[in-house]
Amino acid sequence: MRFAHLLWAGLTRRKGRSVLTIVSIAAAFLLFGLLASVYGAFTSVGRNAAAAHRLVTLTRGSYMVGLPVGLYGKIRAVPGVRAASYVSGFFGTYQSLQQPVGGEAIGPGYFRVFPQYTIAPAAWRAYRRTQMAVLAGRMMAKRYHWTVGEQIPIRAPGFVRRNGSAVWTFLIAGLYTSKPRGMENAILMHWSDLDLGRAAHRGRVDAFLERIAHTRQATEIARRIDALSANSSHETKTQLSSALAARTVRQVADLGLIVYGIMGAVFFTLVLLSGNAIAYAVRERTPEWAILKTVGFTGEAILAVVLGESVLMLVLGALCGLALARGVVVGLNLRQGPHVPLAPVAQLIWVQGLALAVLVGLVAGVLPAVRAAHQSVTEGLRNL
Amino acid sequence: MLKKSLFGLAVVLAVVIGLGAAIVLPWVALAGLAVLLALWIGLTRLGRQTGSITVSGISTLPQRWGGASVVVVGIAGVVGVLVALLAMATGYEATFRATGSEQRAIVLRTGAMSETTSNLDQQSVLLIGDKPQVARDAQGRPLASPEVVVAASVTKRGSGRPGTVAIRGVGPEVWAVRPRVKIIAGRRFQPGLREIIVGKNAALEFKHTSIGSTIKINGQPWKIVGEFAHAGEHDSEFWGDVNLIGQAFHRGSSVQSVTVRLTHPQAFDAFKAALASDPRLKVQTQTTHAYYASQSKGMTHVITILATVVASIMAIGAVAGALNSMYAAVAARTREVATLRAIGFRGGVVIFSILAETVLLALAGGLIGALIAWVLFHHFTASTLGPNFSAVIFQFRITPRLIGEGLKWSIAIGFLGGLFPALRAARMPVTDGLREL
Repeated sequence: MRFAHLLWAGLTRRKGRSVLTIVSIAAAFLLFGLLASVYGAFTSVGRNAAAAHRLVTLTRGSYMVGLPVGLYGKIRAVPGVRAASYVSGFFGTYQSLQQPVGGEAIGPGYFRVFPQYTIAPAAWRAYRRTQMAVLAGRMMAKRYHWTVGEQIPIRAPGFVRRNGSAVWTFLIAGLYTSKPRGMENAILMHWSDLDLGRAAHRGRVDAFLERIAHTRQATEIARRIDALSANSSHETKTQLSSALAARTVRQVADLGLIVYGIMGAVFFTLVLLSGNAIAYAVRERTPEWAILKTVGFTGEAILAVVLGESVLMLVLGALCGLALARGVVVGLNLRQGPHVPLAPVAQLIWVQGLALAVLVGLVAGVLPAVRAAHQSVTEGLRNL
Repeated sequence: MLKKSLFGLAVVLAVVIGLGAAIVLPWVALAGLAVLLALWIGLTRLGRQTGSITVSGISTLPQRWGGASVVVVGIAGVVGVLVALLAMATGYEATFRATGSEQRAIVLRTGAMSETTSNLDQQSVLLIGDKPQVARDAQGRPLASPEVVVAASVTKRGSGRPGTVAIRGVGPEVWAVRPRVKIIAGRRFQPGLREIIVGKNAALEFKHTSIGSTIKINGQPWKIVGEFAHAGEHDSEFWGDVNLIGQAFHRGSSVQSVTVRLTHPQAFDAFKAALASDPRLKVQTQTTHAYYASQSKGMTHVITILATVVASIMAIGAVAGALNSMYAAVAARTREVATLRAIGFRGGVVIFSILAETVLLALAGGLIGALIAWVLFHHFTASTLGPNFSAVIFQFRITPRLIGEGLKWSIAIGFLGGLFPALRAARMPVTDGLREL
């Protein structure tokens, strides 16, 4: 701390250069913050506390065939299963092809497996006692200007009805909110309405969902559930919801490769760039190091001053960049909703970012620092 | 005061015009400009002066390689990342584009956005095939292939992890409907038998796909009898008999789509109109060219935006780095520049020479970045989930257009990074500069 004013004086000596260098550093850390946020959003899909207590049972064959709903009773009876439900996906469009509607037809017990939904009691009662009623996610209702009590026609060519039509008309019984908010971009309908209405695939569900008490029981309970249908025509695979999410993300893209590739290129450039800026700053102060030594500074002290200046610059830039990233993420999440999957810039990202900044600062500053520390007094003063 | 604000205005204009030109102008026009510039340098007096100062400036580069490398490496990073990401988008799009043709049409149920959300019954299939615009084979059968695409879980090679493959059930006429599909090993599947042929990319990606082996799909054994190549999206698929695959996946006799070969590409409009005016049909018609292009649009769009955002942020950093380096370079050459101005060289010449130096460094950086992207990622094979919720295997593709795009970015960054230091050098009072002697 004794050197604080020296560090500051070094940074503000050439304000223009320091500002430009900090802009470069901030750009690098802005990118770091944004990419870490996107990466976090994808890898943390379903990694919340609820997902750690939820199993998903899918078919080992094709999801287009699904599983017979008759398994439900057996699954519910498996020891360790606290609550169970089942779902079938539903996809259509509202009014025009450009307005997609995704939904889930849900079986009984669904909200015991997914405690993260919030539904007003009145909406819940209306939904329960009405045929062809749906609960609409707040975001989706806002997007298409739906109001409670409104009839909405959804065209779903993949779900042909028994009368040959592909248009399903639902009644909006109420709205729901959820955490995370991404789940608000859907509608939830009675599975029985879907199944009674459709021409094909009757009695089939896409997945069973089970809530368990402890994550550590997951493997054992999953094994028991899968044993129910072993060697049948509908073998199942049961896994933790979080594991399934991770698997799906892996299939979409090797995000890790992309993110680490970009960050590698960025930080390699950053080390060179800030190292060069520090080197300039040290070189033009050659006489000053000599003077400092004459008045009693040791080589180690000068080494520390230069390294400190380098780290300070990096940390300042990183703080600016991460704060900007935070601003962008907050702004996008407010405006766009879930269209851009962004996790909040979490504590971990700040910690990782600042640690990286210190590391890059040390690496970038080490050569100039050693040079300043080893420079001889007479050589330095000669340039005065 | 007035002079100063006029000057500021001129700078802003120069920046806007320079960047606008770099971004908007096609590559050919930029090359033409470069040739004109070269002629100017070679043929006019002012040009020769400028050229010689630029050369003398560049000859001092080895003495300040640190600063120069910041410009080069910074821009190489931007261009490398940009080109690599765009190569992913280009490769993905090209895979889909190669799948379609103007002479094939795909018929889906009205309102369906893709095959997976479509449904056609047997009667519709027959009605579609009966239209006169559909080409026929020697026996007079319509060249129409009723199809279903289903996704099934299979094991990946290498990691042994589960992956999802698209299994396409195709009609017996498919070979004439899609003549570019070639069997490269084994034979075609036989209609009526549980036989599968695998696309060449699917064969690389998934286990149990060698000819003669048996693969379990949806609990039932299917025999692999051949491997096909097509140079498009179908290379990621398994193909089999549409009726058997429909049955195995509990679809009954309905299919998702019908792909037909038209008598000639111009017949499409008449075909579309014929289907639309048939009251027995509720269908929509597209050329497969348009259909597959639309299927890849979402993903291509996302990757392009990602590439642009990432490269823009990196570019801000690179511009700041270049500005620092060039300011330092100008400061180191204060005396030299003042001397030049004292003996009569004009300020414009100095500005041009410093700008030219930065842009040349930037171009070198851009080329290096593009080269690295090429070495690492050209024909890099990647896999993602496609529109049918199954694996699409494609290769990154770095085209000359992409490299041109990268070089444009590098020129724009170099221009911005060099302009302000150049202006400072040219506007410095000569006496101040000489005082440093």
